[in-house]
Amino acid sequence: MDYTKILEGCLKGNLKAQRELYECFAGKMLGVCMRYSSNREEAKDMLHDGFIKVFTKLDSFSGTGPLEAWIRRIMVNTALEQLRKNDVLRDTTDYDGATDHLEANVDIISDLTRDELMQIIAGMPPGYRTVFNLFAIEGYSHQEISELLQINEGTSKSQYSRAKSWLQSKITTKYSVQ
Amino acid sequence: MKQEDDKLRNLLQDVFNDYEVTPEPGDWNRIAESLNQSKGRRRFLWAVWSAAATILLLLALYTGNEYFSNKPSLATTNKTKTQFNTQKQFTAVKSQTGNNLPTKQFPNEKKVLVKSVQEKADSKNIKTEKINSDRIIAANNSNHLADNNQQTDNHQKFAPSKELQVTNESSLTKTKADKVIDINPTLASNDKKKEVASEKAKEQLAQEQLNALKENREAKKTKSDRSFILSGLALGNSSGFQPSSGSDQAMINNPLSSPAGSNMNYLNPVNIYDLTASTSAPRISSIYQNMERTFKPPITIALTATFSMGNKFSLESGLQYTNLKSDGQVTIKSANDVLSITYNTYNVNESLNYIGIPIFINYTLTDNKRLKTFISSGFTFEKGIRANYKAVSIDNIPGVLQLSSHNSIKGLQESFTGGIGLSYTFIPHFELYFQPSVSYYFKTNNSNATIYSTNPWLINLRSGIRYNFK
Repeated sequence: MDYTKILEGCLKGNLKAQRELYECFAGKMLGVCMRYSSNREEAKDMLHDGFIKVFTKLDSFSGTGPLEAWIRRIMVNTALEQLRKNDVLRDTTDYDGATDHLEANVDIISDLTRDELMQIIAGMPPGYRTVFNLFAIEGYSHQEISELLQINEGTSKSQYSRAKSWLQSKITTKYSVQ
Repeated sequence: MKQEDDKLRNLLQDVFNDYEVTPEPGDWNRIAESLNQSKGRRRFLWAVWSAAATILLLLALYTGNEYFSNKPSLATTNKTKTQFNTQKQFTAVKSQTGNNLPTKQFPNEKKVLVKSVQEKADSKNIKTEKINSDRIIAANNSNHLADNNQQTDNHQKFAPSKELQVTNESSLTKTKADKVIDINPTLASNDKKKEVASEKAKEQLAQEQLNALKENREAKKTKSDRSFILSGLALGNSSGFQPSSGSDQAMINNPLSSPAGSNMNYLNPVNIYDLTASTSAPRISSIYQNMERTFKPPITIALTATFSMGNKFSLESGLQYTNLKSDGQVTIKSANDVLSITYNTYNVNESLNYIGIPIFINYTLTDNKRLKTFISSGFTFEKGIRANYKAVSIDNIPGVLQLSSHNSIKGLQESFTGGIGLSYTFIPHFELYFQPSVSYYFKTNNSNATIYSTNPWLINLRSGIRYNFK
């Protein structure tokens, strides 16, 4: 889709164009925010702040990459800022050096629906959830995550392992109950 | 384990790649509200920024005022030979009383007065002239009697000084009749006491005239110090001018000493404009160019447009109008009748108008769509249209107290300007810009003393609205 006209309108401060851009990406971006938050209200706050940044910093969009990727990056950064501001990432470093021996079973996870997975992820501790999202879904490396969250690379790895263990335990519990 | 991680990542990325959650209608309303508030905040910040820029501009103007108020102008420098100052004026007035007369300063005056005395001698049937002629004799006699040989030499050397003395006395007769008229000329040669009293009266009057001129000058100086002079320009550039060498119809008449048809009712282009010596009518422009004066802030109104040349370069050009004002004061020495001299002071205002074409190349340093920073340099070519002059007497003397004239302006003034600027696109294609710059005004062949010829390097602030072709 060609967003040129919408972007031009947004750059002139045209509210109609801004709404069009919002409607194009709001659903996906709210999905992103939901993965980083524990509830919808928190996700809506992230979405709000993220779109304000999109509109005010749109002139810095170079146009060389996909617009969606640029907006998604802003949303993720906004979500991280908000989590940091609310001090929910503090427990990320609390488990530095910890190890785990449990591994998530991919076959079991693949049997889950998207909503079921979202529900489990939303229930993760914020530290686990953040690293899990960044590594497993956004595709960041542990080094990038360490820079984003200002933690050690080892901490990022540890958090991810713990997140997988936590996920596996939740899935196991869920299936064993069923 | 690595394979397991990759498998999990691929799975999750597939699952969440197009994952969407439908937002609620109120979510957009909240964002729109915040955007409006943000706009209002930006407007407020813009207003604050504008106010700050205005304050800085006023500070620059004030600083420029202080700078130029304390710096002698080229006009002043050029007047070293002819500059009218209080001390010289005092000497001139004093000379008319016959004391230490520096006749070399006023050679024309001497000639004219000698001639006047001869003319007076030929018309003895006029009573007042008789009085004056007798007074000349009396003064000469008294000096001869009182002085030693050296003084006699001086008297011979400065013979016209006696005549000047009489001239001044005649002026007293005109302006302070009650003080002089009671002197009986028939007794003057015999009554030494009365002569001494007359001398004292003359000196007193001369001192009064001096004091009055001093006051005028002080008043003018105070006014000049308060006048707003700009180091450069608030709204653009302006340039010097070249007055026409053609005839100027404007002349300044002395209200007291300008009998119709007289050749002595025009000014000489010196600091004390000696009407008594003038045989031709000087032009106000030429008089004014030799005067000590104060330059006022040049004001330029410009209509410009920028044309993008690609790759951050743009060409800016348009049309600009500039008004350059200055004011000064001139004291005129004139002869009311043959042996009477008076001093009158005029305020003279000069207003120069010209149009110009600026041609600048701008390079954009930063561009965040609305706000840009840029560097700019280029030339401005300005052509004078008209120079207006107005002279107003400040002596409250009835007669012709206000005169005006105009001149054409010759020559092309070129200047080079370089600076760094900030522009804000307030509506599409229209930019408000502020550009602190340094300008150099090239000398012209026929350069007259203006703020630009006095200070060819000027710091100025170009500011305005321009259209941006994109």
